[in-house]
Amino acid sequence: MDMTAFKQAVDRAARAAGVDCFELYSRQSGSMELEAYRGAVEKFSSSQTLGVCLRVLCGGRMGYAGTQVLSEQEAQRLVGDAIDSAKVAENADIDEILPGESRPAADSQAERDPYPALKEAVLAGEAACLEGDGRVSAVADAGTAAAWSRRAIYNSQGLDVSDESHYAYAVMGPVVRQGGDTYNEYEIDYADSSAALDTAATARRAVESTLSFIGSQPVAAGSYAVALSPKVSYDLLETFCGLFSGLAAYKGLSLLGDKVGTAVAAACVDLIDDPLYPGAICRRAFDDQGFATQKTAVIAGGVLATLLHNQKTAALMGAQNTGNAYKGSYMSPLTVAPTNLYLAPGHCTQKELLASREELLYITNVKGLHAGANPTTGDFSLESKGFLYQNGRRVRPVSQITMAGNYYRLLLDIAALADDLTFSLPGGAGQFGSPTVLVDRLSVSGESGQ
Amino acid sequence: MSTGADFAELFYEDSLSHSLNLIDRKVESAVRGHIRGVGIRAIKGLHSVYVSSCDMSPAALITAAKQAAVACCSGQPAKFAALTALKADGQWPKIEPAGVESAKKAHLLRRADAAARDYSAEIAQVSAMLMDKTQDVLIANTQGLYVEDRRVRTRFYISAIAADGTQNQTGSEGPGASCGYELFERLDVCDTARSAARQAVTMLHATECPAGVMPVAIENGFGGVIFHEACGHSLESAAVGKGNSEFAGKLGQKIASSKVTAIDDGTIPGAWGSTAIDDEGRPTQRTVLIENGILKSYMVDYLGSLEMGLAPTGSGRRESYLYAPTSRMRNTYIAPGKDRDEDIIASMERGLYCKKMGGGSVNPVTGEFNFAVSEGYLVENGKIRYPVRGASLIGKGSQVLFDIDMVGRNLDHGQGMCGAASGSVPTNVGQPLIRLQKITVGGKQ
Repeated sequence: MDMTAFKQAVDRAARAAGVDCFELYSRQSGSMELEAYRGAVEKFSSSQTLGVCLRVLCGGRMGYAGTQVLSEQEAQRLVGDAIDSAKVAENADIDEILPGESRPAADSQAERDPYPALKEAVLAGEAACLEGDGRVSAVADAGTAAAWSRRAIYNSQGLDVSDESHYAYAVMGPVVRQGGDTYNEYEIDYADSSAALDTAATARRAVESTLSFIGSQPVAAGSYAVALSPKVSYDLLETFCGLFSGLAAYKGLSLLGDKVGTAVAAACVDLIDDPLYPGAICRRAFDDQGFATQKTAVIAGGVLATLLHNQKTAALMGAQNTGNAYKGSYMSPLTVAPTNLYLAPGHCTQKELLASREELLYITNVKGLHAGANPTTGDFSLESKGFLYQNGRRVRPVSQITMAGNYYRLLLDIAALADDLTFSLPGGAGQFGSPTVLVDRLSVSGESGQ
Repeated sequence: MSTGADFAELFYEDSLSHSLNLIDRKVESAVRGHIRGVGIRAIKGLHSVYVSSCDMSPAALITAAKQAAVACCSGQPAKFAALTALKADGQWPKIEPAGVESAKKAHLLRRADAAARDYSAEIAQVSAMLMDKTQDVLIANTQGLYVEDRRVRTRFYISAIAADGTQNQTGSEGPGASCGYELFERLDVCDTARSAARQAVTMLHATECPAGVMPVAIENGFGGVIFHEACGHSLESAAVGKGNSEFAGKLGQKIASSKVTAIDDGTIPGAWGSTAIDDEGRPTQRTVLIENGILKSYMVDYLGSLEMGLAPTGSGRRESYLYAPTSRMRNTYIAPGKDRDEDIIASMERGLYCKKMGGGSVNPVTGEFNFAVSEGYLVENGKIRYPVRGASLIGKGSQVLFDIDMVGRNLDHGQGMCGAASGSVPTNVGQPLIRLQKITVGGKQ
């Protein structure tokens, strides 16, 4: 049974069960991944999947059910399960199925067969890692991939919309062995098509990065001025973006719930969510309940202007809907998430920023964000790597240290932002962006002693 | 196979799941899900191709198989063995999750919520989740394997938040098992809830953890995450096979202190990481990884066995039909030793006692690992003094194994979801109380 027929089957089953307010959300996604080893494609995988989720408003309560099976019988089951779900749920009855319009789907822009381009790119990348420097002994990871996804929302209130996103990415991880130690750093790049991947450049940066850590040592434990690379800063922003969620605030999981209109960051900080950011690879015109997205200034001049909301959290908190309804998977209940959230760039160059303190640690890599950072408390303590700088000069590489702090505090302690805004690999609803960020005090653990 | 593959395999899955979420004293959502699909793998030499789809029509399957074949092979048609149908001797649940009414499940969540809130007035928020999943799989391959299995898992998760107006602290517990709702005949969700609440309140009154290098004692149960991250991933054939692990080529060599014996066991009845067969259809087994400090075995999947010339250990696992299987851990633990818990604490002049660990991660190539301490205490002059928060531990796997210098007697396991190349799979971690003579502790003081 195809999607159109399944939609009709669900429509019939829902109306027959006395449910006249419902939404059918579907996400179809596919990916192709290649890994190279010693000049040949050693692993190839491709997947495609289609999942649908039914939301019903039944007795004032919202019920959910999901499936990957499209059949007449499954349509019946889906409606029954969603009604059962609504009966047990105690969610506030301001949940809504939003009215909307029907718009024809755009033609697919995704690549029909990315295989030839992905193959050429992955082999070129692996070769570039090995040829990049005589000290590279192996490549632990040489991969390319293309991913696409199509989202469609259809509801009983007249909404019928869909959109599509697609991108390609490459990862390169050369290995260098020197003096009994092993060094291995990764670089990831993305593009809007497989053909646009420049894996030789990715490989060059990965080799350079791996070599730069030869002989790295911890620094003495203490408090340091720290420059966070764009990657480290957007990784932290992604980890802690829940602090800006209206849903988290409503549930008491964010300390920013009553801080709208007050200073929550240094005056130099502007935090923006822009679903249609021109440079972003994933742009979305409507959120996961079909509401039109918008550009939102979350923090302006250090002051919290608004939290991010969906229809329900906006109503609960007396705020404007910012179009940030989000489903983690097709089956997930509606939550709130940013689309393209970024710290706005400042005016100095990264070089100027790194030279602005007598001594600072430039952190280029943090690990274990899923465990060493607590999105509710704001606390983090993370395995980190980078370089010690003195008066703008790189003195030596640093590894086996931790960097600890609290994100609420960090926002207030930002001293400067450079002009090198960079975005993360797409994931979730969109991307995260940041320039290099200078923070005046973070705790670092490394060698013993004070 | 007509294009010359050495091996082909089909993995079919039909899974039903149910999850209920409670937050703010209310059941926020209840979702039933149904996933179904197939993954086809072809191997030629050491080259592998994997194609998966939820489109189950014969035409789509044949297209998928052809796509798999064309990408890796060109040659003479290969042979394949006749199929022998088998049913794996899996653990059947006493109480099928599908038969339990949603209202009953909701009641369990409400009881837990109340128990956590009753623990202390400082508990400001509680979120709790109940999840069950019944996965039916069919695995067939060209070596004559044709086997079916059913995996039923049930898990309860609770997170309590203690707040004092200016800060939040969290505590959590997530017990689970390979069984149905009989889990709750032996597990009191109220005890679990109080444990999460106790942790949150303790951390609310904790001071910042000092940073530095010091001895550390790690409690049993989820503390075993240290072995999982620091060493376990580096003993998987996916990392070892290409020499990309610091433990490659070290079978028979001493890689740990003599006090360390470590085991990965997929056969423990009802355990969270147990299955009758792995996701390549082989019976799981109890694999001794390290015995008295000597490396005895890696964890090997089929592809790893071809690459390394070792027998598979029933370690091929995957999250779902969307992933090709690879070598993964099941129930991994450090075996009990002979040291007494009180002697371990008494041995530390100034150090950290980690009662609860969070998760972590590792780069198997370099062995660099990190993990978070969710409930820690400073130890001074052999006595546990006061709680500290915001700690993390970092180090290198090959070093930390030699630094385990005391191993206690009381083994316990904790449940986790382990994420890697073949998706997120349920794994147990475990150990008795152990002592590391020194490790880098990250903190804010």
